[in-house]
Amino acid sequence: MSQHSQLALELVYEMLEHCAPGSTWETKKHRQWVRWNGRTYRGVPLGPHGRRTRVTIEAGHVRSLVRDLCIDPKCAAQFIPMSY
Amino acid sequence: MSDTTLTTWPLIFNYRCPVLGNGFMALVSFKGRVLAEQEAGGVWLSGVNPGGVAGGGCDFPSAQTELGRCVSDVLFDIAADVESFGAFAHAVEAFFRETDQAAGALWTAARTRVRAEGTTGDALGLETQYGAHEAQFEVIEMQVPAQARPEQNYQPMAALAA
Repeated sequence: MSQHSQLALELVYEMLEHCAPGSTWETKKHRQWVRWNGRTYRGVPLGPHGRRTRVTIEAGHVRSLVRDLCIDPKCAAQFIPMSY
Repeated sequence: MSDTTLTTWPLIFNYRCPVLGNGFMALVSFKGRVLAEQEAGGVWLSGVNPGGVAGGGCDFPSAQTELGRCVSDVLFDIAADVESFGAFAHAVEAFFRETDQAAGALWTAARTRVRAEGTTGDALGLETQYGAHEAQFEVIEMQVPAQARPEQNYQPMAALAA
């Protein structure tokens, strides 16, 4: 999978629900912040033209998010198969 | 689904940006570590210090631009959340100190490889910086225009850490 491949956000939500239970997703003015495990991934873009909701996310952001939040990569790969 | 082949590179990211907040103006500067993952047709940059930020593009310059935009967005969001320069500086320091340990391990392994192979940034169209690459971070409150200097202006720049 290319790092620029677009993934459905629903897949990410499902992965977080199982692999990072209790994680929170907060929409800021410029980015979306995902918190879990005492850490924060602040890099999720809002979406095209500054829309507050988007339906896809680049695979590279998912890889970076999984690493940064210290999510078990084996768990994440069950939902979004790629190397972390 | 199979992954494309990724080549990792250790980069140093020099960043500076003025940030306007609620009743304050700050100048944020840092020299941080960034992990680059290159594949056919694209580059992805993940922050090590600061962690939790990333950006990609079709080549190094475009990926660098996206990463710089991501960092600026985070700083603007932090500025919107606080009511004083002190609170801003504290929050930005916490952001900068939040290291991405997994990306950091890959960064260190990539630097070991780069040093062993004698690779320079020329191969990537980047400058080469040698040294220990200690992370540096500074937040200055700009209280009066007389403090401003033109040499404080520069675009974010990445270099290969060798």
